This record gives sequence, C-alpha cells and structure tokens, in this order.
Amino acid sequence: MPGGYVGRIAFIDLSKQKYHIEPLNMTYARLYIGGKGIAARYLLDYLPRGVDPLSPDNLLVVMTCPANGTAAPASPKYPIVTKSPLTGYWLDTHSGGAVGVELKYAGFDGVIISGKADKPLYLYIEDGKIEFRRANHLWGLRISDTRRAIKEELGDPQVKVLSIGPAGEKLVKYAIIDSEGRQHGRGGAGAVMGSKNLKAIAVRGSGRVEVALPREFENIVEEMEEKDIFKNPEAEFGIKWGSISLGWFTNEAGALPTRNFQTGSFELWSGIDALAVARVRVKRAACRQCPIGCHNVILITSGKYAGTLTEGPEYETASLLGSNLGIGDIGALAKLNYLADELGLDTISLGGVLGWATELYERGIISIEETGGLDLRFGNDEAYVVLTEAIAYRKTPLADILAEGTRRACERIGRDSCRYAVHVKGLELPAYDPRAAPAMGLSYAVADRGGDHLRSWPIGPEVLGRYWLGAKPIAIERWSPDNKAIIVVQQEHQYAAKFAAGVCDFCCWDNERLGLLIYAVTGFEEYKDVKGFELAGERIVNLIRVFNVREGMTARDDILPPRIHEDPHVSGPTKNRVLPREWFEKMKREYYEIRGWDTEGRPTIDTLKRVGVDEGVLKHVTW
Amino acid sequence: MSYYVLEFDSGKCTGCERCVLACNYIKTGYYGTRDSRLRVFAWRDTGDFIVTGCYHCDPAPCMEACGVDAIYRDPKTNSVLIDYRKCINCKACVYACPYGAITLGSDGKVIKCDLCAGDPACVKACDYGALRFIRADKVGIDFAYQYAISLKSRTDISKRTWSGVRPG
Repeated sequence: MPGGYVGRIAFIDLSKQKYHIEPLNMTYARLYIGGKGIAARYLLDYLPRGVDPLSPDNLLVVMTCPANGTAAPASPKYPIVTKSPLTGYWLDTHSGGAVGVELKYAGFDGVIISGKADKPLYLYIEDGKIEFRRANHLWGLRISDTRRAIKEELGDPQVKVLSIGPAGEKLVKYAIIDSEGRQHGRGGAGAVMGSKNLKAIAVRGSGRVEVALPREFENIVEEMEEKDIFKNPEAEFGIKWGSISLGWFTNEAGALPTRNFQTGSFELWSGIDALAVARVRVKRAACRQCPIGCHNVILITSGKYAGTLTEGPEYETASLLGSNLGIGDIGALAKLNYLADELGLDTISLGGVLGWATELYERGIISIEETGGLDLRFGNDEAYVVLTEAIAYRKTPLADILAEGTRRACERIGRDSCRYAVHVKGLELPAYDPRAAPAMGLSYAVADRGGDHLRSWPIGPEVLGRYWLGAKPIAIERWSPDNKAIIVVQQEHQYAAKFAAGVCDFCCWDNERLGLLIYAVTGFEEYKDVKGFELAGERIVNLIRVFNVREGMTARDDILPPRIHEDPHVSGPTKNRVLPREWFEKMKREYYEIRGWDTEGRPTIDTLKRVGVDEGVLKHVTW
Repeated sequence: MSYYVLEFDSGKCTGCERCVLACNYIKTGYYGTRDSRLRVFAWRDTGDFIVTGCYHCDPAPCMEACGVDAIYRDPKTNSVLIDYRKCINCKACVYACPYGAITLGSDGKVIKCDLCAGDPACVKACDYGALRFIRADKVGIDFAYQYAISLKSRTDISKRTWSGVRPG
C-alpha cells in the first residue's frame, strides 16, 4: 500500500443495514489522488444516471484525502460527495472537521452510503467495524446536542461526530452536515443524509497512516510551513484575523454583496468587519493539524443578543447574512450564524434566500399576509431570526417555499420573482460580486457544483492587476474579458488537485510544493513534477464535467443570473457597473476552447485521452 | 533547581492536536493518536480545549504504587520515567495516576510521557504557544503577569492588596 491511503472503502447499505468492505481501487487513487477525485470516479461507477437526489438510490460518499491524518500542514480537509438536491448536479462539500482524519485512523479511505433506513439510524464506525444504531431519541435534536448525546451514549468523549440538524431532517434543500463544529455547507448534503434517515456518523479510530517517503515528507512539510505559512505575507490574514478580513478587500473593490446583490459595498460594514469580530473574540480555534488557526470563537456581551457564543462568522457568512441582509450589527450576525449552525443551514444559501425574499417584499411582489406578518425589510434582524427558525422546521407556508432554495422558490412564487434570484444552477452565489470582477462571473458559471467561489478565485489577480503565468507575471486588465479564461482554467487545476490531496484553500498556493507533498505522501512519481500535478487537476475537472454532462448539463446551464448582466450597482466604487453579456460569452467561449470542450461544454474524447482519464470513464461518454 | 516543566495554556490552545500527532510520531514512527502520551479534549461549540498528560508529580502516586520499583525519577530532567527492564506490566500505575496520564500503548505496554528526554516533540509542534517547556522557576509567571496587568488597569494604586482588589 502506498503511503497516504489505508486501502479500504466501506459500502454501506442502509436499507438492508449491511455493509461490505472493498479494497481501494489503486488505479483511481493514482489518477485522481483522493477526496473529490476518487469520489467522482466511484460515483460514475455506482450512481446510475438521472437519480433523484433525495431518493434512496442516491449515494452519500464521505471520502478522505491522502494528506489527511499526516503531519502535512493545513491538510485536514475532506469532502462529502453526492448528487445535490439543490442543483441536481455534482456536489462536493469540504470541511476541516475532525471526522475525516478520524475516519482514516478508523481504517477507511472512504464510506459510500446507499439506501434508506426505515427508522432513524446513526452509524458508529470504530477501527474497521461499522455498527447501525437506533437514533429515534436523537431525531429532532440540534447539532451540538446530537454531538453531546452521542458521545455520552458511546461513553467516549473523543468520538468524532458527523451529524445533521433539524433542517437536514426536514429536507431543507440547503441543509448542512456538521463535522465537529465545522460545516459541510453547500449544496444540501444534509438533506441527502436526512432523506436516508441517517442522523449521524460517529467515528473513532486508533489506526495509523503512513507516508511513502518519510524523509522527503519531513522536508516538504518544513518547507511548506515556512514558505507557505509563517513567512508568507499572503497567509497572514488567516493567522491574524481569519477569513473575515477578506471583507476589507471586497468592500473596497465593490464586490461585497449588499441587499440581495443590489450593490457592491456596504456602508455599515465596519460594524461586522474583522476588527468588530476581533473585539468580541474570546478564542482562536483551528482544524485538526492546522497551524493557521483561522476560526474565531466569539461571545456577544451586550445588546439584545448578549450571551450568544458561536464559532464564526466566516467572511461568506458575514457577507450573506450581514451585508446582503443589510445587517451591520455583530450581535445579530452572531445570532443568525449560531442558529444556522445549530439548526443545520448553509449560511451562504440562507443569506441568498433571505435577501431575495426581502427584496420581493420591499418591491411588493410578496405581501405581508404571505410573510405571515413579518415585516421583512433589509436590516430587520428580528424578522430574520424568526424566519431562519421557521425555514429549518418548515414552519410556515413561506418558510416551506424558501426551504427549497431560490431557484425552486421563485418558480413556485412566479410573478417575476425569478428576475431577482441570484444563483447559478440553483446554488446561491457566494460573496464576490462578478460585477466588480468579471472573471469571477466565469468562475461561478463553470464551477462544477454551481455558483461557487472554491473552484477558482480570479478576483485576487483581477483586482491586484497581476498574475503569474508560469514564472512570468502578465498584466491583467480588470475591466476587460481578455486573458481571464486562462486564469480560471489554471486556478481550477490547482484547486482541484489541492483539494483532492486534502490541503486547505487558505494555505499553499505553490503548485510545485503541492506536487512534491503528494509525491512524498503517496510515492507516486508523476507528482514530483509540477506538470503532473497540474495535469491531475485538469483530469479531475474533466472527470467531474463528464459526470455533470451525463446528468444533463450543457453550455446553457453555464450562465449567470440576469441581475449580474442587467442591474448596475447603485453605489460605491463600482457604481453603474454590470458584467456585459458579450464579455461573459467571450470568456466562456475561450474557456471551452482552452479546456478542449465543444461549444456545448462537453469534454471531447481527445481531451479526455489527453488528460489521461482511465478507460472506464470513456464508456460514459455518449456524445 | 533548574529543571524544565511542561506548561499548558488553554487560552491559547486551538484544538489542532498537532501535539498529539507529534507525540505519536516520535514514539512510534507512524501518524495517528493511539500511542500519544498526551490527549486533547475538545468542546468545539464553546471553543474549550484541554490538553492532559503527565505532570511528573512529586511525590508521584504511580511511583509509590509500583511494586517492582520500575518507576523512577530522572535526576537530570526531574521527569518520572518507566524502566521497562523492571516493568511487569501490572498496570498498578495506571490505576494510581489521578490524571489518567498513564495508559496502554498499541504494543500492550504501559506508556507515559517521558518529556522526550528533555526536548519534547509536542512543544515543538505547537504553533500557538499553548504548550511550552519552561524553566521551573518561571512556571506561572505569565499568568501572574497577566493578572498583574488586569489589576493595574482596573484600579488605582491605593486600592491594590497582595491578594487582589480591596473591596469598596
């Protein structure tokens, strides 16, 4: 067994309450590294085409990555992979929670869960064995209560728990899965878990992970810690403030979503920015094996939300639940963040949905009777607190509609409401407005899981005006569609391969060192060279595109919401800016060309052969 | 005496468990948590993290419980060590330890912290300054200093006593 893997995958059938263990397919491991790469390959094998995401036939895959559980810095990230109930396409959702590492110590590279239990269950995975345990008494509990109850029941405080909250049970389409206080947020993996009547997965392992080349590994770890983290000014923001500090940059650049993306900078931002968070911070916290420690634990001591203790807010949360709702008070933000985490809702999608509903109410598209008496105005935090709870439990008719996500909700409400919905493929947009950074629009449109910022992050190079292609810096013109597709493509390669290895997006942007890390952990020679690393990233991107095209994705799905093209920002540094349609189409055309995809956005056989996917993938290519 | 002591500050601990990983690795050569001599307990919802391990007590209950004198104190580092040539693996020390710091390793033998012979791997692995290896005469000085600062900022000089702030 090469280092980095434990070599076993568990196939769990909840309907029959049985499981079997298969050896990890090493061809897949070698080609797709780990995490989302391997999971995508298994999904192609085992998930039939066109499955309803909330049916028992959908698969829920918890997959670990080769660097998980080793001493590699900032490498606890692991994905949960499934078909998304929000988009109907591919979903991988990562977190740095402690469960991934523990799962590897428990002797599994991944678990693939199918079927549906007839009564609520939770799984207890301990050192190679899997137990099906009743969860009737846990059904309905909030997330931290679930975690506590399971630890008490199993009598082991060091068990790590993956669980859903009430929102997941009620099949809210953007429900999260919590992993020891970190969230697998996007795309509604929690609803898939809920649809399987699976409340939680408790994991405990006393096994081992070994690396293939210990000496090389120690060297590269030392080098990464020094060059990528402690002596890298770009990593400082995470160590000092956490992700929330990104808001200074986006607010100034006009990319901060404000009042349902009506504008790009928020006049009350200083009330919820990194300094405001630092003022109420009581503690720093970190994911497992991470030296960055970007989490802030905050305690609100004054105002009507006094006593709220929560981990966060991250930048995306502060933006979508803060500026996007017109909230500039750290107490209200902390309360909403706390509720979302405890009830099990994705803060990004929740913020998108609430912001959209508020705009409809302010425009008179929905009435006060429909909101159930809530005066849903921007900045009215009390209404948002009520509505958030209502959504998690689907308490009121409006909440029941909003629980479906903006795309389905606007189809149900009708009345021109889709005009104001801000999503790509059903996934609500995160906190970088493409009107302030055109390439970000392309990034959202072509991201594998819908509108998402973790597939490429071109806003950085765009606003700073510099980008390194190889060793050569090339000048980037921000307000132009030129040279943008190539940035997105190259970043997508890096992110895909990096996430497959388990490394966090807050660390380590040097492809060479990332490749060497994978080489040292697994011993696979091809990653020693930076080209091998980048090709693996490209391979994974193409593999997932094959999955998506098989599920019916075409170039017509790779679009942006009308607001981005038609509604100019009403204030701030980007006043009157839109992202012109012709710019977007040009970038998209270039993107497909560079990728070697046809005009319908489908990878050609030649492209797939060039990037080196295995033969099994080609038989899924029917176009 | 100028021996060194392991000091833990939970206010700085982030729960990353790098100390556990480093301990396990230096003792066994693989990555895991099974053979770590220290443990991290985490309450993620409140951000509380506690690292527990051997405090090298003096007098040490484990030493007193050992019937074959296999536990002894190293005069150089003042640490409490197990002599595996004498140890009969009876586990009396495991039950005697008030802190659960002695446990059974994956090879079935009793294991405990030995301060890595005066150069603890856990301390080197801690990037947050929560675990430190400091000279015995400096133990507590940071906490005392923090307290002094808070006292200084809270009151004027006339209101301070040696045990805190004078009431009223």
